[in-house]
Amino acid sequence: MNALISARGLTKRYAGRPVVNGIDLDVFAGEVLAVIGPNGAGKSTTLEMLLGLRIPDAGTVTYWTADPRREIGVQLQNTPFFPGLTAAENLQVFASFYGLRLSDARLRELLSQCRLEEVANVEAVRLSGGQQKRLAIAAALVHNPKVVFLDEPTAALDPLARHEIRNVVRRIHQAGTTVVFTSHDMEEVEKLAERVIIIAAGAVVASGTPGALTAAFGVANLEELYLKLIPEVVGRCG
Amino acid sequence: MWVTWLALLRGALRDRISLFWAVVAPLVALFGLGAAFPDPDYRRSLVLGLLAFGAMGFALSGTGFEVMRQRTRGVYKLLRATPFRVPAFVAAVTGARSVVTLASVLVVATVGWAVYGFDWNWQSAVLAVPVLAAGTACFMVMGFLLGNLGETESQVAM
Repeated sequence: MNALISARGLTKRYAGRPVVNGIDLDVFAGEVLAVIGPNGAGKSTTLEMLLGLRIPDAGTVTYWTADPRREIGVQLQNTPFFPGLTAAENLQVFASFYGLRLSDARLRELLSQCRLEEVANVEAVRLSGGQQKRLAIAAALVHNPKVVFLDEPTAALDPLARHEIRNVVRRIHQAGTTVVFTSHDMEEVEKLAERVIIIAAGAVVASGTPGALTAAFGVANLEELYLKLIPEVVGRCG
Repeated sequence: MWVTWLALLRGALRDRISLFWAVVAPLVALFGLGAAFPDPDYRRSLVLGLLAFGAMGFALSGTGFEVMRQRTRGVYKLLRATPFRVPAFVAAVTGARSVVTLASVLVVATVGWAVYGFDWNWQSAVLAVPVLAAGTACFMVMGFLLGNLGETESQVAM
């Protein structure tokens, strides 16, 4: 398989303490990759280094393209919508960051893909939590990226809103976009991810398809695997 | 950049609270204090003071809070993941807020001139524009500094 993004030996230290410690990671074309791990494991720092938001102290990240910022979409945990602007207008602002102006057809397509047609003209900051998350995903897709990073897209949402987000992620994937997401919801990871990378104490402790991982560790599901693996690693690292 | 600027301008024009302090509050003070103290010299000083008040409100406080909100909500972090340069975004924010600030002070100046009938000649009116623009730019820079130094809204407010 072709790796769109390859990280080798990624290391990041804060105040001398390694937060990410020599991580190797590949993102393959067309996959849905979940990066999971406990709080403070180094997931966000790793993703931020992959996105070029943080410079690694050691290691390299290579991309399939010369200008990854034009080809990667990002949904941060708190997407900053612009007050006073509607959902549709916010999407135009995000498109302008890529030097684009969305046509009416493209705008309708994005709103439809993220089930936001009915709130297109509602001020973005007044949308519900689930609608804001879907708008954040739409904002990450304005430039039709090849890879999209979603940082905890379903955090703090009710089950219905989570279900809607999962459907949005499936539609994005079916449209041919590679999806990398983080989550603490193991059931969601099992439902969405084709491949899982588990990070703990700044290192990759396991990776593979959900089925292969559960079989290899002799557990029934990812939640059991998580509960088995993480305390061991965290305990070992103090 | 123009699309960003236009969108931010639209957002600034819909910011009712800031516009209240930049336009409505100075006009209320203009009529109230002007009626209470009918001295022409006082009224002239009142208009000038209220122009500064309006510019300061929108350009200094408004920008300070806006920049702090953008920082804490991750606008600048997100921008680094896009090809759009942060200085271009700062220029768009500054440009949008400057236009609204200048428009609001021109409203107050025009109403002050129309109601109290100062004998301003056209040269002083034309000269007032760059002075107001320079004042707005100074307040805006201070607003950016406050927005970048403060961690919370109360720190920016102080």
